[in-house]
Amino acid sequence: MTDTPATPIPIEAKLAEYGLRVGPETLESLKGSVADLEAAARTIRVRRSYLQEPVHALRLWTK
Amino acid sequence: MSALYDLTIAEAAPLLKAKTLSPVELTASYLSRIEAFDGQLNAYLRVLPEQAMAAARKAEGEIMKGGYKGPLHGVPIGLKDIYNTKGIATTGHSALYKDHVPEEDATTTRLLAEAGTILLGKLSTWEFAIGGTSFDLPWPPAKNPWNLAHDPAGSSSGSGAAIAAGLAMGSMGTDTGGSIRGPAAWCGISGLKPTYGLVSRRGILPLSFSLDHGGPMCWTSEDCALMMDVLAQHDPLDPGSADVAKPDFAGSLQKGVKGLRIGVVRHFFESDAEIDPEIKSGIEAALVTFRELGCGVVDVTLSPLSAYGDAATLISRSEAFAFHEETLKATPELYGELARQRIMMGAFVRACDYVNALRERGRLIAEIATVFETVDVLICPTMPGVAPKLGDLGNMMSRSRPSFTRVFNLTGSPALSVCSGFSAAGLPLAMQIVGRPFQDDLVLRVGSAFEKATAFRDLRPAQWAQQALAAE
Repeated sequence: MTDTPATPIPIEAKLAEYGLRVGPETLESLKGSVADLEAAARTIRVRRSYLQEPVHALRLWTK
Repeated sequence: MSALYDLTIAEAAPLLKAKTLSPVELTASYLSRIEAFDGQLNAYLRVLPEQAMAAARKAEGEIMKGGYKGPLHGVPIGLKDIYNTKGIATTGHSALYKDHVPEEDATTTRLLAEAGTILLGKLSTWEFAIGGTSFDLPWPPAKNPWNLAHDPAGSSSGSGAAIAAGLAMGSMGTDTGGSIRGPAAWCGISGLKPTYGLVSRRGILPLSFSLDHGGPMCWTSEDCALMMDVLAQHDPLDPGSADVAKPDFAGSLQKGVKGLRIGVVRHFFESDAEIDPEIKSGIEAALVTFRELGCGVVDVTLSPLSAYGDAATLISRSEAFAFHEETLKATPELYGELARQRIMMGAFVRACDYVNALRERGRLIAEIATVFETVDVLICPTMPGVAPKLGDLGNMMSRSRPSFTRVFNLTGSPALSVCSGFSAAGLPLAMQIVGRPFQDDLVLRVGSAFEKATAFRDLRPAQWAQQALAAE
């Protein structure tokens, strides 16, 4: 795993940036979901070989 | 002869072909049952009696003139209400699309119509196939036919409920994280998430383009195979559609399963996640059945369940938000609370994390391919428990509740859920059978062999059978 820490996601600021509106109950629940997303992202933040690059969209040749 | 609603497609097809069963009689019988029972079940958002009867009369005329098209000709089906139907509202069970009337059929809608199926109506779904069991939408959620107090799972909730209650012979669901297999499991039926690219996505309301799959849901795996014989077509207008040779799905069921190697992903349900002991007992009993059928059974190891869930979550949230962003900003009040919140999560995925998730996906696909060098199919649970009470589903998307189904959306593998027994409370148990890419025919063959070796397909939800008898 890399040591690069991810900046915690500022939920209210992000919602405002996207122009999204939520009520207080949704906001509370959203915080839990965003924590889940951050945890998921941490587990896959590892150094990878260029062989794992997702370049399938650029396979322009045909069989 | 069995009651008409009790016939499988495989049983009805020869009768229809031989003209001893009329599509008109069959369709009228299903419409009567829908009228009698669906008020309690909410499987249908929209029933199409006039259109269905007209299609049935047309099918009858064709068959009488010697124009029998095949095993789906004259068979009444339902479509999850995210399949576009020309001239018929396709709502996604959402106020946002309440008046959305497509100008074209989805490719799959068209293929099923060309095969001679009779469309009975559009089926209930979680809002936009993501919203969860919701009570703040224009239509109520579907209920579980095995016990109306319980949840049928989703998102293809109506598709599962309608088949189990005998309100359609076949249905179509979609599956981005388990939305065919979950309802198949809790409704005690067979549901196939095909290999990614095998069934066209064109004209199905998108959720997450790289994880979305359309597929059949039927009482038996044999019926799913009959549906796949029609559905598996290359579609040049779906960029994800695979141009591959089409197997003979129904024909391959006759080959049996003797000598097949079954891999059990035991760590998924013994250490990675907790499951209901009754689900585990159902799987252990199924493995005994497979051994008796001449299969070899070995344990196999994949990455932990959470590895799949983490990558799938980041991808699905990002792609769903990309599709819904504009309408979510403009008219958030037209989404139900659960869909709004789940889609909104995509706003919080960083671009680099989405890319990392795609890289991780590549690694996991390569890993599972290696395991498939040693076994023919994998087996693991479909759901961690039996159907909870309606409204008690909680946050299924929580990271603390890893999913057994999303694994195979991420890898694109064909994955079938079949009924593996019943709990002490009479609710269905289920397991998944998973195969190599484009070996959907083998997966269905294993599922069908299991169903024929056990008696679980002989038991319909008692409530509906009793009511049907009372009505007769």
